[in-house]
Amino acid sequence: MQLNPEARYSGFFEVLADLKAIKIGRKPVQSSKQDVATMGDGQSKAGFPFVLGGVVLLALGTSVLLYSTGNGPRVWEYLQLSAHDAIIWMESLKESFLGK
Amino acid sequence: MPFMDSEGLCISAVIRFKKRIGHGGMATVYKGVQTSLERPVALKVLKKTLLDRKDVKSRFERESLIIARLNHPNIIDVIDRGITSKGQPYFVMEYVKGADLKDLIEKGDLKLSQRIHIAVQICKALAYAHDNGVIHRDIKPANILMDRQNHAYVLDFGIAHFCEKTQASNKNEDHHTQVGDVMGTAAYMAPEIHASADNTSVQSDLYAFGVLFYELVTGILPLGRFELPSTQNPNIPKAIDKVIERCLCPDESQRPRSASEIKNLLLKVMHGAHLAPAQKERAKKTVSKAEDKFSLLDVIKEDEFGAVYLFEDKVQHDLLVIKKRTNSSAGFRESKLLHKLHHPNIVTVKGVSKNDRVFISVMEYLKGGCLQDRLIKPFGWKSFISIATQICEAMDYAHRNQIIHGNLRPRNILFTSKGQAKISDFGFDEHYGGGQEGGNWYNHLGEEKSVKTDVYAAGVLFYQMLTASQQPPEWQSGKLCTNAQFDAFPKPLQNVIIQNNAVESGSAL
Repeated sequence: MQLNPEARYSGFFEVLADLKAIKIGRKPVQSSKQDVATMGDGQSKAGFPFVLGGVVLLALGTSVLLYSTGNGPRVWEYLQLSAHDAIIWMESLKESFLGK
Repeated sequence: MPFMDSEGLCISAVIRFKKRIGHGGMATVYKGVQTSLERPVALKVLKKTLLDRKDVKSRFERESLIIARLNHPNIIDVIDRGITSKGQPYFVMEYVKGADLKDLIEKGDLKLSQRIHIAVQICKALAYAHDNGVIHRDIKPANILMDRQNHAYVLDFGIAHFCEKTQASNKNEDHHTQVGDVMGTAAYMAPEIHASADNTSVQSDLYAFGVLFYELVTGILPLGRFELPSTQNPNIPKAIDKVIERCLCPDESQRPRSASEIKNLLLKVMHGAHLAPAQKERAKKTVSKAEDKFSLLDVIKEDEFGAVYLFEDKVQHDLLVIKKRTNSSAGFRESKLLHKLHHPNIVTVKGVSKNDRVFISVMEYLKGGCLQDRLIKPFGWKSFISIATQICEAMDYAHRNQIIHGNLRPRNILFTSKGQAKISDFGFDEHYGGGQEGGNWYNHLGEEKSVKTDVYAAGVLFYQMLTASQQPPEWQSGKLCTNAQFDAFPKPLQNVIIQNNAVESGSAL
């Protein structure tokens, strides 16, 4: 076996720099997507309950505000129309992908 | 001839059946002979069958491998493990001639110091297993084997777990019998286990140890409102009462944090009473000038190269490690320099002295054991990067102060009780025995000690931490031979290991 210490790190400061560049979390600096999934250790999922909770609270707050001002039924109407538009948009998107 | 038990289960072609030596609710034990080495072995076949559930089988494969890798002088060695043709898990273990602790307690011949020493040995085994994430789950005197030299071996680490899991998936069997089998005698069960077997933890093992220890010093079980041991026998020190009271606390958060903590408390009670007079004499010579200041608690290691002692500072009541190296002053310069320096990841050197023949260094004692004792399974990402970073910071600091370690290896990476890594033994000689550390994996080309050899040693160490490999990394044609486990690592981390380990011409990222 031929010895080649030159290929090795020249000191621990270099190892440290590389270790510190490895991010444990959602966006590692140099990792592929598969690596991210392995390294995540569940951290990326940690904030999910807070985000979901925030959205629910916001929706509840908005509903209370709208109903208290008498605009509730108009909001439902708006939501229904938006959902209908979204379905039509998704269908057109699907058709454009399938080339129909 | 293949090993066949009474029901004709084929177990192994390399074990020759001798006779059945034990039979309990959980397993049947046979004495056999390992034909390749012609040595006696004990073969434990669990009664429960692992059903066709893949998850149960894969758990057995994973966890029994960890159990088989436990390597401690107070834990019985598991030589092999597997599943019989009928789906029963089995373990092949070293055969120790002796009696179990239950019989010795019933005979009542043991001196108090011998009883406490047995408890210390059990604590050492528990501390080691707990550091590796293995809970015993069935600590009781019948699971402690004593040889004729009063050396204690803890049996059946984690084995009860397989029965619990198997039981959970086998609804057709008699549930009451199963519960009795799994948990052993109810008297050793922590209150939280009565509620659910899922509450098993380090603290539930320590509760069971508390019951065992009470029984060991008094001869009876602590049932109902029990009397403290010193009430029954005035010779029993009050400190023992306190240890037992804490272990038996119904609230698990009030129990001792670790078996290592109990071990140190007991060693302080014993003041070296378990040691041979010759050992004490040798230790006394080591600290001859400071005999009044230190009290000998234990001999951690003694061989032809020197000794390692555990002392207590009589004034501060701190624990100290005193290392004696005979006929070598390697490491004296480094220890002297480190005595003046300080880094959070380097073991504090409290004092150094040397004469023509002996070199002595006094160091802080760390309760968390060493890295060698934690290599039975791979480290997780977070803990690996945290420990590797601490090692690199310590080594970088040492190198900036012109200190080369020259002997970096898992035994020289120690841990505090909170898991902080600290490096010890800078500049010390390399000494290799057989076994796992046979050959110098950490400088296998015999390079002259330098910053780069320390980097290489760290690379081997990191590889072992990530893979729990029992073999050093190998290179072929300029490339590190890897396995699927290594290939699954994120590329940046693979690169760190490869660049640390690079030994051959053309070794590249």
